[in-house]
Order: sequence, then structure tokens, then C-alpha cells
Amino acid sequence: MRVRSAAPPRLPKWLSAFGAVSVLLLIASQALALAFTPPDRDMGETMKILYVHVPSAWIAFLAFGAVACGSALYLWKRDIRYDVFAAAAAELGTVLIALTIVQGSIWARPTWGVWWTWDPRLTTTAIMLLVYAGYLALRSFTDDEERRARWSAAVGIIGAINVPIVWYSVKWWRTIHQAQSTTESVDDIFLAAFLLNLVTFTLLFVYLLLMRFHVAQLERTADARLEEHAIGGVVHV
Amino acid sequence: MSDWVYVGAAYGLTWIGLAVYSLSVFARRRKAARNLEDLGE
Repeated sequence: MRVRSAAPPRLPKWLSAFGAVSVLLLIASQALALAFTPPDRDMGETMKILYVHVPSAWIAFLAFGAVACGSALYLWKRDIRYDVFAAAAAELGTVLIALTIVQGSIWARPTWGVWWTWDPRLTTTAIMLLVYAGYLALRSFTDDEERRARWSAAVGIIGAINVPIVWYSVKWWRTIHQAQSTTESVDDIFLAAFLLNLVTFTLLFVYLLLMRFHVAQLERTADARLEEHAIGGVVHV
Repeated sequence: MSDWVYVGAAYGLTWIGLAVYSLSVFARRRKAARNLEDLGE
């Protein structure tokens, strides 16, 4: 008996509309932040970099949390879809943490007078980038799907330990990177613009993650079909 | 340099980065869909 592999995954109908709305809201929130927030007393207009820098770091942390969850679920359930989800989140998170580092470097130059310094926050963030770049590189080391998923899950779970270290680095060590602001330490106009951008970046993150996961499943199905055609046999996916 | 040069660079690189990544995802989706079509799906 010939058994067909699973049907190609379908893109949920609402996802495209959700993506379009997310992009439009993000453009609007960025424009509002740039046009309507006043310059900071000390940092001047460069303070506006906060409205992309912190949301980028936030969604990178969310992505790495998703990697850890997907990895743990894979090890528990042994369902390869959790590994595919974790890999999609790792790719997105790596792009975002790289952008966070670039934005921070651009902000550091006028504020600290240097593009880069081996400050604890910057160093732990650079380590985070290397860990997840390594996670993605590791996945190309073997064609065995189960082995790749097991190795990746181990790195995905251990790598997430760095997320709280990056977050608390400004509290645990002496650092020139400022600590997290609180609702008492910033004016309402800054807080409103910041929260608006945090929400819209999060919406875009959800869209990109679901889209990347869909594409990864589609690629996996296409690869399985090609294999079926090549060997003329049965492949389970 | 003016503060706005740094602000523009940070926002510009962010948007370019996100746009390039999004386009790469859509390109991979088209390629996978085309492969499935070629196989009669």
C-alpha cells in the first residue's frame, strides 16, 4: 500500500490581513514617535532610537523564549513540528538581535562617544547573537531530521538561559548601559509612544513567526514529495 | 553630526533589515509552492 505524505499546509486566511494591519500600525506608531515625541533633556533627538531599539530587543527575547518552548515540547512529544517552529523562531530572533546590536551601536556613538565597548549588557547580547547563529549553523551539520532536532533542542533550551542574564546584566554588574526605565522615571508622552511601538512590533513579530513557520512546513512537505518521487516509495512526514 | 543622522540610520537600517528578511521569507514560500506545483500538488 502506498501512503501519501501529509497534505501541504495551508496558510490561514486571516494571516495575510493580520500582517497588513500589523505593518500599517507599525508605520503609524513609528511616525507618531518620530514626529510627536519631544527630544530628551540629555540625549536630544537620539533618544528616539529607543522606539526601535527596545522593541527589537523585546521581540528577540520573545523569539528565544519561543525557541526554548518549541525545543522543550519537541523533547517531550517528539513531534518534529515543534522543532520546525523552534527553528523558525530562532531565525527571526537572530535577525532581530543583530538589528538590536546595530541600533545600539548607532545610539552609543553620540551618547557614549564610541561605537562599541565591552560593557556587560553589550557583551552578553553579543554572546546571545553568537549562540543563536550557532544554533542555525548546527542545523546544517546533519541531514538526519531526528538528530538535528535533538541537538537543536539542547542548544535552544540552554541558550535561553542567556535571556535573563542579558535582562539583569544592567542590575548585576557595573555598566554604562542604562537600567530599565520605570513608569515613574519617564514622562507620559515617552511612555505612550514606547508602549505603542512595543505592541505594534509584537504584532509584526507574531505575523512573521507564523509566516516563517508556515514556509518551513511548506518546504518540508516539498522536500518529502521530491523524495517520494525520487524513490517512488513512501515517506512519512 | 546632527542627532537626526543617527536616528535616521537606526530607523533606516531597522526597516531595511526587516524588509529584506520579510522578502526572503516570501521568496522561500514562492519557491516551495512552485516545487509542489511542479510535483502536481
